Amino acid sequence: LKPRSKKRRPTFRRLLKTSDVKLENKLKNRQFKQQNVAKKQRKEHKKLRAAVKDAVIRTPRPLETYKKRPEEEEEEEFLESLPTDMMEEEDLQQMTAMARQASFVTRDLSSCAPVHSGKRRSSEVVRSYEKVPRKLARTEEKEVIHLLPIKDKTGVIPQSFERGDVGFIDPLIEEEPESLLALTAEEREQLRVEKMNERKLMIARLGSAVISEPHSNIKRLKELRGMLMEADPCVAVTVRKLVMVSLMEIFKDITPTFKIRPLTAAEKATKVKKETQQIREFEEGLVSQFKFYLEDLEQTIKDWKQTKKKRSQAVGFQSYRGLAQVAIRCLCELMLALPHFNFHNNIIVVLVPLMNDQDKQVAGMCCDAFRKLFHQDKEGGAALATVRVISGLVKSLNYNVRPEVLNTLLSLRIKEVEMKKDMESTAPKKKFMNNKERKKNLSRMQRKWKKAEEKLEKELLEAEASESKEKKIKLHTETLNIVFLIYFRILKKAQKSVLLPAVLEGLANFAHLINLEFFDDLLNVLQNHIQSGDLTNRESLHCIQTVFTILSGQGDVLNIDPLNFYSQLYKMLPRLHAGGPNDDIIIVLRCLDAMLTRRKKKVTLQRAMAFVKRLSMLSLQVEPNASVGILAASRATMHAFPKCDFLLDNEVQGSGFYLPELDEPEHCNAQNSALWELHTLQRHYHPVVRRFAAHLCQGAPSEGSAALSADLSRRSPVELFNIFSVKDMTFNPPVAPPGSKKKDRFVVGAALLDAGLQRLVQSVLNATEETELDFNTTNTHSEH
Amino acid sequence: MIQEWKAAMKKEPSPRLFREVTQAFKAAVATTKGEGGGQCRYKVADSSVFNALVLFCIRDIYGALQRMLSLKAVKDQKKLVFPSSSQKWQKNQIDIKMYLSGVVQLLSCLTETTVISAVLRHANQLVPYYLCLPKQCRHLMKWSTGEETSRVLAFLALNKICRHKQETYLNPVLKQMYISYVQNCKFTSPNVLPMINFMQRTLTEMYSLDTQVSYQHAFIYIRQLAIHLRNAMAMKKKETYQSVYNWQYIHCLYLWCRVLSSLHPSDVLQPLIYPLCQVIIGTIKLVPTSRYHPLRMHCCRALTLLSSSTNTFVPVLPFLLEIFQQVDFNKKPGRMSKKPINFAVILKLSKVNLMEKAYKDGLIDQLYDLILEYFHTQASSIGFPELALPTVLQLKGFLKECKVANYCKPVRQLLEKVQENSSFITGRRQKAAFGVADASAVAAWEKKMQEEGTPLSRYYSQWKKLREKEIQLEISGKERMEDLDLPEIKRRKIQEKKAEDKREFKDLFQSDSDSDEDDGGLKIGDDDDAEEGDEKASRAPQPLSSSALIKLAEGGEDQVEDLELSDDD
Repeated sequence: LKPRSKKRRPTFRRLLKTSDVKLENKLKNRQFKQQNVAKKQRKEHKKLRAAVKDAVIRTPRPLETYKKRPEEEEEEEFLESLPTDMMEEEDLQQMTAMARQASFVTRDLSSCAPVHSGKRRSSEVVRSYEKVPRKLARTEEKEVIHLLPIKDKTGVIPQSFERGDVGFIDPLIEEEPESLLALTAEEREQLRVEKMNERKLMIARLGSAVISEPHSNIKRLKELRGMLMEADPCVAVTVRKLVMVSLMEIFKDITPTFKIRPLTAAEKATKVKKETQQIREFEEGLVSQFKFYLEDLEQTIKDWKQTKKKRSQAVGFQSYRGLAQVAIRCLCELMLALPHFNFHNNIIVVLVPLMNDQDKQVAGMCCDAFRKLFHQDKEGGAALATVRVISGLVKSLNYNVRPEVLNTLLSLRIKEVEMKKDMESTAPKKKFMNNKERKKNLSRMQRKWKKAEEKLEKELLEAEASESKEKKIKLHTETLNIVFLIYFRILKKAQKSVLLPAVLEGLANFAHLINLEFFDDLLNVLQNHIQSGDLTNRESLHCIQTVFTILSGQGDVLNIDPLNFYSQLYKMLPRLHAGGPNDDIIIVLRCLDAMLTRRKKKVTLQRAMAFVKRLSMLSLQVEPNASVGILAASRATMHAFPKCDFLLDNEVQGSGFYLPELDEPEHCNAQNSALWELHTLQRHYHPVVRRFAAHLCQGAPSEGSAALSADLSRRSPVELFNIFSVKDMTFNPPVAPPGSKKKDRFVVGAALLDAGLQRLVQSVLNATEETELDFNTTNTHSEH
Repeated sequence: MIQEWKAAMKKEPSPRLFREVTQAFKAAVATTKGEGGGQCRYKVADSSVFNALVLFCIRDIYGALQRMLSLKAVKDQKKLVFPSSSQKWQKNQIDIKMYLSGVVQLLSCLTETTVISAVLRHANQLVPYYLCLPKQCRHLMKWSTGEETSRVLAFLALNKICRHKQETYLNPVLKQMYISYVQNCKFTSPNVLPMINFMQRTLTEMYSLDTQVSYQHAFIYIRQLAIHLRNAMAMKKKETYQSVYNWQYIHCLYLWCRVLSSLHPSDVLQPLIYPLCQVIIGTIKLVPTSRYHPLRMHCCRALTLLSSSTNTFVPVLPFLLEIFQQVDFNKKPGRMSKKPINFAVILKLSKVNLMEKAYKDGLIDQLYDLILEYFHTQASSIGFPELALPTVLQLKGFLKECKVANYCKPVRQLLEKVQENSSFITGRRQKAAFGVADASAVAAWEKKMQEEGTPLSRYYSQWKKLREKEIQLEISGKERMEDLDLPEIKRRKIQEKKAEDKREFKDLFQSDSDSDEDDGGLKIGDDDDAEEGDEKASRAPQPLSSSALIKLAEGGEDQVEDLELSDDD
């Protein structure tokens, strides 16, 4: 084998930008390679035939197809006419011919290769069709126009293939007058089905060969990949889709669980055992085939994009779209299935921009895939790479991306990161004893002992593979830094962008992981945002949640009283009624937990009471599950501040009247109000709300008849909110059976319940029959 | 011969004579089917003979039968004397049976309303006889169609039947009635509304007969509504939305509200309030866009009714207040239109409607009515100030923003009234000597408040009287206009006023049932309207709702099918 030149393996990404010279070089390299492959195949065939006379596996046909296509020959004819035994010889002949004049192969293959896509623009199908009108001088324009959409249809809806359409038949007639002239639509349909079956069988054969023995049959991959360039217009699109999907499944199956590393020159130079050589060949083939496959997929996507831009030539637009979607799906699956394997980064690079695609289906598919990737990614490497690319994308598009792109970041599973604070605390430890100190403090024996100890520890750590944990945390930290970078950039630079909700939600989500050094800035920015009044309720709630998550975490060292945020939430509460989205209440409940229950030492009684009062007021305006959640939060607050029982008696404490409309919790004199609305809530239609209201009415006792049952009292407000959710029209608690067994009596005798109706009945009954009835009309009517 | 029979019947009805008459009647009925009636003894060839015969039968047979079986005239209405208790029953059973089946057959092929009502009246008299025979009464299907009198009579017959043979008839009759209700409320227009209203009232009567059975029915059908809603929520597709957002669904919701609120102090039906509320609220929230505001209003009205008459608290206000947020009242209407929008007969607004001035005018009116009505139901509750606070805040905000004087005026008035009531309740409860925990004292206090009356309830009754007067005026105004002969304007007026009538009457029938005279007068007006509306409608199709209704019609079909399916389980 010739050593591969370095240029032959440009990375997937770099390929996109390569110059023409490089492309040419690549082309040449590929030609060499093709020749090699052809030779090898020939050898193999000879061997194979010698070994097994009745060879099961057919010799590659796609190559043959390539050869015939330029000559405009009919595939179905040779496919049908060729007996299997004959094929071998013919194949051989072709193979030798190909080996001699490589131009055939190269031309075809290069035309399939993504590199030339720019010039090639459209697939074989299109090209062959473009030829048709030129050849057929007599074909009218009208027919050609007819043809184009039909071809699309054949790809997309194979069943309804050119029913009742004559335009399509013409090129076939021209090419093969004697056999196809007489064909009707049904026969053509049948022909197509036959072809389809043929191709399917072929795909299955090649695929199963590869899967059963990947090491020896790696070459089949290439043949299968060759089918991606299926030329026959009536089956091309379907076959291509099938091949894409089957290759994807094959790759999923046969790739090893490690990354394949290119051999160094030294390794290549050394002689190795036969088996090793075989493995190496397999790996090399696998990697290159995988790469080419990915390139093909990418090319398909690109073709689609370009056709989209050149709308005038809507040739096969529909089928391009379908193909591209399949390709994207394949890429997504590969990305999820092979996060460890080569070219994973390249897949990410291709897919990330597609998250922001115009096509909602494609964008959704990619976003879902990344969400899953984040979710399943345990090492953190893939997540890091993705986040990097996303960051680049967001920046390069000048923050003009869909919010969904940023929302995928919410699925990142990052539990812990290296905090700056931790770094500081660990840093001095290392310096705890430098060499000098050691020399001073420890004896020689001790030093030796220490050294040995350290070494042992290190080994132990290695054995436990705890290094990977450290590495993971490192990756996570880096990932999160990038995420925050994205967030902060948007917060500062693109305040009016549609991304703000996503950013605020993200911040609220990762707030506990934000480094202390950002706190001041962040608090200021959030405060400004809230006070600007441009935010929706939800966004403001996210801001508040972020602030309090920070403050309840490591921010507790900062001695800030975020009074302003309390007021903001207090002010917002009346606006959060059931007319709006119900999910906002969840955030409120989370905020309340952080603001009142956890910070109870830093909150004044006044404030707590004002909140309890306003919360119970809010519970009159929301859906039942939100009501339950809010009442549970009030209950928690009442437990945290036992003096809240002021709210249950009707006496005036101190001076001033309660000012319900004032938006300052400290100054609204909540101590002078009473929770009368609990009585209204006791008439609520939802049974659990009723129970909670009755419970609170009695001062939220933990024992006695008014106490709650365990399943209500032990759950957090957020849990209760979710349990009693009515989102999918479930009834929790279930609808009770009739209250009593006895029947209720509403009416006595013939009297009616409804007085108006009763009068109506009376008037009708008393009406005298003054009119002379005439049955004749009826009679004649029915006789007709 | 008929004259002879008649005289004989008057004198002394004998079984033999009765048999002969029955035979003749059978023959007469047979002619309506177009057959010669070969097996009958008599032949009714002439139409005048037919006429005289039938007339004679429906007028005199009942009395004759009573005498023949020597049954005493029923003195008290409560007890019904079953004819089978007579000794002569056995002898005449076959003839009576034949006669009764003849009546049913006749009924099924009649077309003219006056005739139907006459025959129905006759059938009504004969109910005891029907009861004695396991003959299924087929005429119940006519209950929901046709002219008013015949509907009333059919209902009476059904009601009588069910009252006396509950165990056998109530279940199938209720089922049939509900299904025909659903089938018949597919379309809603001003002239159909009274009919739907009538069906709701009569169905309520039927459900009041046995609450245990009603619970089963209501449970199944409310669950069915919930399932429809759940599917719509899960699929999130236009077609599935259509299966919920149609008249049938809304009318069913309203029907159940009506049933539960009319039969309020009932331990049996009480548990059903909770699922029904949840379904209605879910319906409101399914597609909360401004195009479906009319639908939301229907739902809110149903909830208010349910909440007020069952003394249950249901949060209705948020859904009304949301409308203030959704609609920009300051924005100049893009299109002027002469026609006011009748919210009572539409579910969905077209995009064009949304731009009209009439839409916003109507919306403010509706919101005013609905909010006032809801607050009225809660006016004496001890938590009123808290309940009203978000509304007060929002209305204040609205007044600050809104620059259209016409909209500000009613809103300001509403705000004042609510605030007045708020401060009244606050003042009174501050003086109360009990704490929050004392539930019985609170209940007594609330009751006292209700008896004393609050500022809001006083205003409400005033307002309602005013509204009634307006309606009166409009009726008379309409009559005057008729004289003037201005068909264009008249038609619109009728439609709108009718819708208002409707609303008013509903309330009247439920709450102020003692003011008889007023009702009588108004009711007659209502009937007139209905007929007139009919005529008008036949001349010109409803301009407002027809497009929406056509769409809704598609969603309707499957629901009916579904209803029938689930009857089996």
